[in-house]
Amino acid sequence: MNKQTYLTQLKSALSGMPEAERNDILYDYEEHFDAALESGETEEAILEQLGRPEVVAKQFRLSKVIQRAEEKPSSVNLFRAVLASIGLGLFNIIFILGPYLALVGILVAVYAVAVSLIVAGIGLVFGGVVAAVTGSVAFAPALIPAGIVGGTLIVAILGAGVALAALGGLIFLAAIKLTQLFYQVTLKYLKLNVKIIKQN
Amino acid sequence: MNIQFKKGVLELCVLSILSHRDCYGYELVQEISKNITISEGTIYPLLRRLMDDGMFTTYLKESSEGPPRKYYTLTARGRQEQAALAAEWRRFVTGVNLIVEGEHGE
Repeated sequence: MNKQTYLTQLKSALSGMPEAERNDILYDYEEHFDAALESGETEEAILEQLGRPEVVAKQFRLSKVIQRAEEKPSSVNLFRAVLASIGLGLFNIIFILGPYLALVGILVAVYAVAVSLIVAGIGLVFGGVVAAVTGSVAFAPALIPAGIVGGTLIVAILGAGVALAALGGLIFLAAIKLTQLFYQVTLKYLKLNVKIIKQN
Repeated sequence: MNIQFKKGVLELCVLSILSHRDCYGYELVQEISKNITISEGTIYPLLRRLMDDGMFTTYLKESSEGPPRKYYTLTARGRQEQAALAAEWRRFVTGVNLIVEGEHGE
């Protein structure tokens, strides 16, 4: 490999980046080469110091996606950052990715529970209102033998519905907080790894 | 050690050199690797990130030989950041020295 092939490889490794940015990066590396040659370093030594073009390109990409995930928080951007890290071998697939996906699963489950509670609560309130209007508790005959009748039953149904919906809402809010925390911790972890690889 | 702090050390080096004078990329790399071991290829991603964060701007200046070079120059924000990181660094070193020299124990 020499300067030209290095720059060509770096260029193709950076494909997909905005043209201006890519040219800027290539300019920096070309300048580095020229300045180092001028100061008497051999091409071989420079190449060794710079590191493989694919690795360099991945570092540019990773800092870019992490930056984007910080500026515009979204699950897609976070996913991209995680993917870019896997590409760099930073995200240990067996030890980290497994538990990580499990955590994602738990978060999804918490959301599901919250939504079902809210839906169930709204259903009960709706049912209670219908019962009050029609005077019929046909939709819940099982409650009658328990000795609850008439107005008391309707109040109980409405109360239970409101309580369920409120509980669901609380869990939903908690899930949102958890998601935000999860997001920040993921980014922190990725950045920590970027730093560690740089110090090696 | 504080992660933010660790992350700041290389940044502090870059910002400190630039607080003395404007440099081009290779010059910065040389200045740093004179004293600490770094992987040279990774300084450029860091420079780019710091520039995106508004720590410095660049300008082109003719060199005696070859094409013009890209010089990095600190912004006001970069100077502030350098001062803050340097102060944090001094506090840290002072603390470690006190422990290493055993002034607490005796």
